[in-house]
Amino acid sequence: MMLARVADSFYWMNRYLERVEYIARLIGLQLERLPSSPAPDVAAGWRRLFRSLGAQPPGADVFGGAEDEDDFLFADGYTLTDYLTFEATNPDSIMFCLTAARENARQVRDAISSAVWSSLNREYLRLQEIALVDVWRRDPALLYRDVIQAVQLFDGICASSMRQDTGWHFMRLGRFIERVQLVGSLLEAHCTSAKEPSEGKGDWVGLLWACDAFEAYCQFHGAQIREDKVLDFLVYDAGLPHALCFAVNGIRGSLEAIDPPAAGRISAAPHEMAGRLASILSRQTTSLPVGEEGRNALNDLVTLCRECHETLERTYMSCPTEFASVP
Amino acid sequence: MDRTTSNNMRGPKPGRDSPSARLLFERYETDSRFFDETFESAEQPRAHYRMLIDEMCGMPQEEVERLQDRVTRSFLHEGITFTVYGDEASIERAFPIDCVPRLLLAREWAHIEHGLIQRVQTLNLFLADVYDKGHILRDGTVPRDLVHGCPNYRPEMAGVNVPLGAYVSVCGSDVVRTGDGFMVLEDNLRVPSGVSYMLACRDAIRRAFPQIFRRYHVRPVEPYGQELLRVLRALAPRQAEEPTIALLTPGVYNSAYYEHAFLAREMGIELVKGDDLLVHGGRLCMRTVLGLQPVDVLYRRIDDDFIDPQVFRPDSRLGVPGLFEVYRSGHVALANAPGTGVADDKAIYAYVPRMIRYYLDQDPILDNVETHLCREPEGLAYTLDNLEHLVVKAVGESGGYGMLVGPHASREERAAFADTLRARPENYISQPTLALSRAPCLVDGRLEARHVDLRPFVLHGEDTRVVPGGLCRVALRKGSLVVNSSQGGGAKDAWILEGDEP
Repeated sequence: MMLARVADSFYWMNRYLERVEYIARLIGLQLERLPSSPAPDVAAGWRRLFRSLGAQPPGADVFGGAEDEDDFLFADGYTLTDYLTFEATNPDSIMFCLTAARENARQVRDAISSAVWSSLNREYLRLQEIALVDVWRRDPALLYRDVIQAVQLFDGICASSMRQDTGWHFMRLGRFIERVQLVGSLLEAHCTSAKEPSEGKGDWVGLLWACDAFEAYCQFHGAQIREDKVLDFLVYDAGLPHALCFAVNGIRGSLEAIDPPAAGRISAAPHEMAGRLASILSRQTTSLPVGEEGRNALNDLVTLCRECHETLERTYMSCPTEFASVP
Repeated sequence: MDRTTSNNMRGPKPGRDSPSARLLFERYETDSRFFDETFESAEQPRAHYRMLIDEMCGMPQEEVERLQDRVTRSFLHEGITFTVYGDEASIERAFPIDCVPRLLLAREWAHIEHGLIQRVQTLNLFLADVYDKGHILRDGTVPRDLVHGCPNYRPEMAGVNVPLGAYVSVCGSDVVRTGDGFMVLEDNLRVPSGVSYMLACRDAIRRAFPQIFRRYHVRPVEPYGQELLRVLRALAPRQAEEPTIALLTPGVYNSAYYEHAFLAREMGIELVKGDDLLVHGGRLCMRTVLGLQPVDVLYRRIDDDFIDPQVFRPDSRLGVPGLFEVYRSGHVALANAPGTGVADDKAIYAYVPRMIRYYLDQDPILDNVETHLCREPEGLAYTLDNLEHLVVKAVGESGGYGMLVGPHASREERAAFADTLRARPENYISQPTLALSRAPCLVDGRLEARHVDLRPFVLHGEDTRVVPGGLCRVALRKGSLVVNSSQGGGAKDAWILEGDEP
């Protein structure tokens, strides 16, 4: 049986790794577009990026007030990139999240294989040795492709070498809870900003890339980008790894495996919570509306997902005395 | 140490006159004051070392340098590190290991092995005796006040039924070699560490010298995890069922955390912290995702003081309140048992040869280092007369506190220490300064002689076994005799050969 503390570390290790991959994808995308975009689009891209992370750009606290509207906060790509990549004190930086993932892995070093540990540790050591100034003049986006690949490699090693037991399912829970939060917030940010005239229609393409779904979309719908179809795809497609529906199904599946009904559940609360997440997604029989209404629906989903996380922590990862029965 | 008085020899070695070999050996010196593990004389490697020395001489200089780099890197990637606390940030460093293995012949090892088995069996009999009938104290073979006054004596252990009488299940004794042969410098009977470095070291060095490793027939250390698991299982109170075994660690910030995680993984047992455990319904339980699970055997890697705040140190947050009561009632086994520290006390150490004769009616196979007890008038007199040659250690202290290294101290320091000695003689022992043997180590691509010791690991359950190998600790600082990793020490692999010929 898995220790509650160990489950907690497995869970958080993967929440942080999901964040690493996601932040890397957003930065990489932004950097690839830098050379060919007009300045206002670049600033809008950074602004959306920070908003979807729920983060503030460096300096926002100093200037205060309507920080989000101050273009100059989003004007210096180098500083923003460095801040989101290497700033160890910024909880939204790749370095912070990777360090936290590694710390969690260290806590459960006995429960993960050497290959799994080593793949994470190597990436950590690699990033420790890089400074942005070294890669900025060449192809900085390459750095982020490598980070994404390292996380994917980690996933692959886990998938092909770990026994798919309780620990594995807590890793998946961490992945998918974080994904619902991140993708949900990103979609929410897009529903908001789509109304703003200064930003062109290119951002729907960007949204697809940010969710690693552009190529899949083109194969499925053809290269014609329609915002309603993009939203539908990213919310409801059960076969698309970064779609909300996919992640919610993953949460339900792993919960069933961790605490199966046949064994007499220790609590029904997490299962009910996951069921509510799924019902939000299935209740929308028609397409998710763009704009205010869609934004509210996504906001509900993200809020519920946060509650779901709290229930998971309370039920499985702290072992409170109300569940203290010696078998 | 005054180097000018030493008898240094240097020069080209036979069969080692290639340019790269000359570079490799340009700084190597033998010294008649110290037994050299590898060389009979400056010119002549010992027979069993020749194959290794020839192999290294055949390597191009770049390859020798790459060797060390590769080994260090593999330790870093594995996470075999210790933390150096600096002014601004703490830095993780790879545990320093040296590439050149130390070789021990089958007959040398047999001597060490038999000696350690004899010792650990005796120490377990001693512990069972002092915590029960106390025969050896009544006879006066070991003074009662010495045992009962020892800070690591745990009166709470009196009358506790210890499974198999195995107070010490895991022992790491430090064996040193001088010109007079092998000796035991100290026994570590509480929570000995280092075994994971032994195993990781073997792994790295075997990969560094794949050919030569095969040609020497080296006895494997890898079964250690299984052997330890066997010992722990044998301690379980519920013999019929599959026991739940856990390793209790103080946590990720402890310098031995790597080892705790490593062993838990090797044995497939749970790695737990104090917070993961609680006493419920008279059992020790761990908090799992699906409720509480009873634990049968706890391999604890925290000191007695911290295991149970209700019985020992009340401010400890590392242990489990109520654990000792569960232990006393026989519902959980602890390895090692509490209170074993009384048998590795520095003063009681001096009595181990007498214990061996007392319990086993045998002569000690491995010698003790000559030890003078200042509590005895003749010991005090000898110590005071020879302070400039002796190391004086405070009993019940560790980590070099309250210690005088006579040869390195000034006349004034010795005089001041003599006063302390006369005031509290019972608090001190003295030993000669040991001429630890030396072995070649790679330092910046060249071989240099460094002092070494050997910590083999003894496992005691239904029987007593020593895994053939050990952590060969190295004083990496030139001239230093201190092998502790906190003080510039490192380690090298120890190869126990199948025979007496390579």
